[in-house]
Amino acid sequence: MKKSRIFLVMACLVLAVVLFSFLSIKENLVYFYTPKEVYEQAADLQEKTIRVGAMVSVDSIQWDREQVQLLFQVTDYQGHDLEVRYKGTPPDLFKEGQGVVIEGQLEPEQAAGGLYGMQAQKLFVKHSEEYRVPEEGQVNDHEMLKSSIFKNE
Amino acid sequence: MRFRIDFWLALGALLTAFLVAGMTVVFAPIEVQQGEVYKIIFLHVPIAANALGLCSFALAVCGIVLLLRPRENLEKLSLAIAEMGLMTTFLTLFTGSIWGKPTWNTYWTWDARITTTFILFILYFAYLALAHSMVPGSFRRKSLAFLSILIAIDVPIVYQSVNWWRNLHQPATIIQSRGQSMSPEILQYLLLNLATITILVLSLIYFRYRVLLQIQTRMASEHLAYSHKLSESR
Repeated sequence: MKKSRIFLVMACLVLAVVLFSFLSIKENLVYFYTPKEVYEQAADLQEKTIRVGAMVSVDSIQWDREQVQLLFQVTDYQGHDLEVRYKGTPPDLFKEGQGVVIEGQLEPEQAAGGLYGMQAQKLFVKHSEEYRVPEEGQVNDHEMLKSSIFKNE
Repeated sequence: MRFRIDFWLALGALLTAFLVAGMTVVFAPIEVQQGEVYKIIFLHVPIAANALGLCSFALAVCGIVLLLRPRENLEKLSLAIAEMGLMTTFLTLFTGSIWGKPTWNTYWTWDARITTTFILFILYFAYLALAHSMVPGSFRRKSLAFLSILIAIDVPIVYQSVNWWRNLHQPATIIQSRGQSMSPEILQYLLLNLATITILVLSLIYFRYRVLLQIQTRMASEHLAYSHKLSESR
């Protein structure tokens, strides 16, 4: 009898957790912002820890081996770029044109040219749903990756 | 002791699944971006497909049928399915987590796909906790049917989460409208593993179902023997 009561209490707890997670999902439906949204809502996003999803700009990666500091730009290919400073080693799949999700804070000052900067604590790589065997002369198709990052804008 | 077909079926399916998965890791080609590490997809996707597509819907069907026509055997079968559902959902999260570290650079993040899958895990857990804690009868059947319907509702949400919301998780690869995004060489290995793992899950459910029935029969006969003993001593 006692054992079943413990189980019942556990079941109630579990249901409470489920209900709670459903509620918190509704609040946090946006897993990351796009660069366009960052520019539009910059004032509201200050001093908050936010996630931003975008793609790594070509020729923008600077890796400082001694300082273990990674500096790069991300873009949405529509003129909204961000400069990202990340303390740590780049992930294995990190490269130009790759999708990334960065977690950190927006820097209050805009750099010359109106560019926003971000101090990132976490750097995730977002790859596409493509799985392909290496072939001669192939180019990476970024369209799938783009459409899974810059959606519901 | 008679030949236990359920046991040998489960063992055979387990060995076959291991063998096929092992051979896949050795013989499947490398992927252009991820190299070797993507090969955990051959476990992750078939296990997830079974957790979502097989266990959850089978459980909901059993739950509803039980409401209309209560049967002891079907209750045991639901229990076996729910246990397998919990197991496969856990393994989906576990293999995904292992895959996430080298590719996404994190074991875990609360994006919509992972969160809804985690809710599925919790729901299976709640199902089993309730099944074991409540008194058998119509109230338990109704509660469990309700939970199994919650599970079935969560499944399309898990599935669509990558289309509805922005995620770290990539969208669906195989069933999608934007054309083939997986090389046929990789797809054939994936389908092969999907087949062996589905057979494994089915045979494990059957094995567990038979074991649950056996426990029940044994308990009933022990109960009978005990009451005989009581009446003799009087």
